[in-house]
Amino acid sequence: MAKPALRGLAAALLLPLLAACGQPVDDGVPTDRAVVGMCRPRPTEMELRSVSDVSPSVPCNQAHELEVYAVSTVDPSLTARKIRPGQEMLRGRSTSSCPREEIRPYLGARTNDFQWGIELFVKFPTTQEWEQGGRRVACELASFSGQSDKEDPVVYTSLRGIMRRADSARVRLCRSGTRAVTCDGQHTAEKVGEVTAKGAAAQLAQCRRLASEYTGRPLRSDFEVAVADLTAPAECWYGPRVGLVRGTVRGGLR
Amino acid sequence: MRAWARLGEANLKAAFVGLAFAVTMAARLFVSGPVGLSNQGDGSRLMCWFGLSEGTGYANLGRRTAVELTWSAHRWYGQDCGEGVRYLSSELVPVKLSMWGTHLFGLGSGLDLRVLAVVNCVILGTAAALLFRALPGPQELRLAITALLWLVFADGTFAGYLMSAYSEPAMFAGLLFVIAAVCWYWRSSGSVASLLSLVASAVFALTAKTQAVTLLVGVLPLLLLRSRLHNGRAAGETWTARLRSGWRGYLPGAGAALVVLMVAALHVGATPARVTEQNRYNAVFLEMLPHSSHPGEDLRNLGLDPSLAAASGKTLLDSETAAARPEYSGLVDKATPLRTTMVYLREPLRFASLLGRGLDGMARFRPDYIYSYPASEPGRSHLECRVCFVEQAWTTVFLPSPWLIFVLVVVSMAGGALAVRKGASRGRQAMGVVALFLGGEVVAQFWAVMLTEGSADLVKHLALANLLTCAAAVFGLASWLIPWGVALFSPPRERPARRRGSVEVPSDTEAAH
Repeated sequence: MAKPALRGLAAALLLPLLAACGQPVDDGVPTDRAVVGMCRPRPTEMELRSVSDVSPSVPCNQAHELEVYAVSTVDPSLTARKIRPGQEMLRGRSTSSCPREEIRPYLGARTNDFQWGIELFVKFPTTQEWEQGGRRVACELASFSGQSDKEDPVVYTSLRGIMRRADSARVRLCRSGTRAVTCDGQHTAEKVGEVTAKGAAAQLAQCRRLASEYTGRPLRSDFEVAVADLTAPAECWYGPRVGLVRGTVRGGLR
Repeated sequence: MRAWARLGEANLKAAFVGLAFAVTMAARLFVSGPVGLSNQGDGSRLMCWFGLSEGTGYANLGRRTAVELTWSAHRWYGQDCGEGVRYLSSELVPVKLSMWGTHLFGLGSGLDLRVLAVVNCVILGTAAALLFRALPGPQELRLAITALLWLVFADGTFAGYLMSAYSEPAMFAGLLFVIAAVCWYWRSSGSVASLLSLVASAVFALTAKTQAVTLLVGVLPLLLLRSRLHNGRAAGETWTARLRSGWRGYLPGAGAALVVLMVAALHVGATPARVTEQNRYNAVFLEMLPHSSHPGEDLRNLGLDPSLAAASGKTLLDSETAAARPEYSGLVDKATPLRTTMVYLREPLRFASLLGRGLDGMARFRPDYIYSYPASEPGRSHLECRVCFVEQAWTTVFLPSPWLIFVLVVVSMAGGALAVRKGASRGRQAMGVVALFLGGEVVAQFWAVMLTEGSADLVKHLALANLLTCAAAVFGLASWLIPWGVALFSPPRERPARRRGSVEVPSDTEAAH
């Protein structure tokens, strides 16, 4: 009876060790080698929301979820720490670690281009990188298309200068009823500008002018301009009088 | 035929019982469509170390209400998987076996949870067979005990874990192995083989999840004391005489206890820092502070900045979490379970408050936010109830009066204590010891949960305490019933307790008294 029991004991002690020999984790591309314009596949939510990102890059015309729009350094209040602070503390310093003002220029947005569905993910050095002195952060963007941020933000194009291109509907602000959506989905109107004039009539006149500039052509008879949020600045929306459309009305795109 | 004879009738019966246990368990999981438990996030940290990810990328996003049966092969980078720290659990063994099975049956390159469910059922069936073999008393009574335990394990509250990404199945099966081993260990006077089986089963159970480490509370005293004391009695000497006769008799038990203790310490030490942080954060900010009349003072007593009290009741992931504040650093070192307990000890009445909340949590029995069906099934945002007699009986009795759970544990332990009294048959004593063991484990597990995490995910974390309570009740009852069972089923073979040498293997003959 002792021998089988001994075998059982050995198995019980060794099997977890054997089982623990899972797939080795790949080191990928270190955070400090991230460069602006790099596109990275993050095919699971866990990876997308992970505090660091050392996954390899792919050409931006291949499926990917994140794109580096800037490379920066961690918030100065944290750089002196020898051990990497916790996730929540790092995330609390996201705004100060990545230059938000660089997002719109990266997208190629002009004054009356309004982006939607773009989410910023700040990727900090891994624990090991931090201990080795790494303090660079990769500022990455994801583009959530469709109706919510609960879907795969996979894209097959670069976000750099996208607002100047015909495929920009994916990142433009439209609305479906009162709900904000991206313009690649079905929507009732597209945001074409903001006006500061006082009075409804003046606002409408300004909006009509902006809509015309935005589309680069005379206003369509089957479309209407609406003014929303009458507090300054008021929003100008342009969309079909009846029904839904898909895509952008922005003119002058490549 | 000779081979069959060599196997022995008792072993064959036990194997049959184990097989029936496994098959019926699998049937309750598979007949009319597979049911399991949806992954609420914790499952990923177990699976990702085998290069697995749930479903197809984002397909499961916003579908946490559904069981994702297929886990795909996936390459993880850097710290994307579990913050880069390996999550160790004995459940990794069935997971690895199931991955091989998934490949073998051509079900994909990753893991099919249906294969894992079958493997988990086989492990549970093996434990049930060993338990049936180790139990004392007539066959009918042993069968009844095993059947009652099946009813508990097969309940919707527990069975769903078998087809899930959680590490609970190893903890549940480990518990059944430990019960069988304790039974055998006691009946065989702490023989070497039974001692090793107890060590092996305890190691398997307590490395399933960190919370199962409370098994040490019952296992260590058994390992340290049983062999020596029982040998003393078997040799016809008084306990004190045998104790005086030398320390060598304690060596096997002490060595085994040391092994179990070391494994437990290594396992706890290997807990990913993030998991430890979550637990300690929850214990302070979700349990201690929201139920305190002076949260600032509690934080000061823990050595933390009182200004963090503003984050009382906020989860770790909340936008207003304390973890984002500079004063937060050092929480993991300062809010240890020991120090948290010391804070409560300053006002012992707070334990009563903790007890009340914990019993309320136990009374709810089953988390109502982890669902059972795959996405393809209609009504997937529901809990299945194929076998839920225990849940229904439990909630009917205990939801209105949670304090009755406390009474149930006390009564079960009292039944065990009476069975252990001098002069009782060794089989009945073993039954009583198991009831006492399980009752003690309920208490240890309950307070471990309340003091290390408290309100956060309370009902799910108290699942083991509930399972232990059910098992304690079964054995408390059984230790009472054994004499009647013997009289009813095998009166001619009844005889008084034997006193004999140190090694005794359970057999049908032994089982009859």
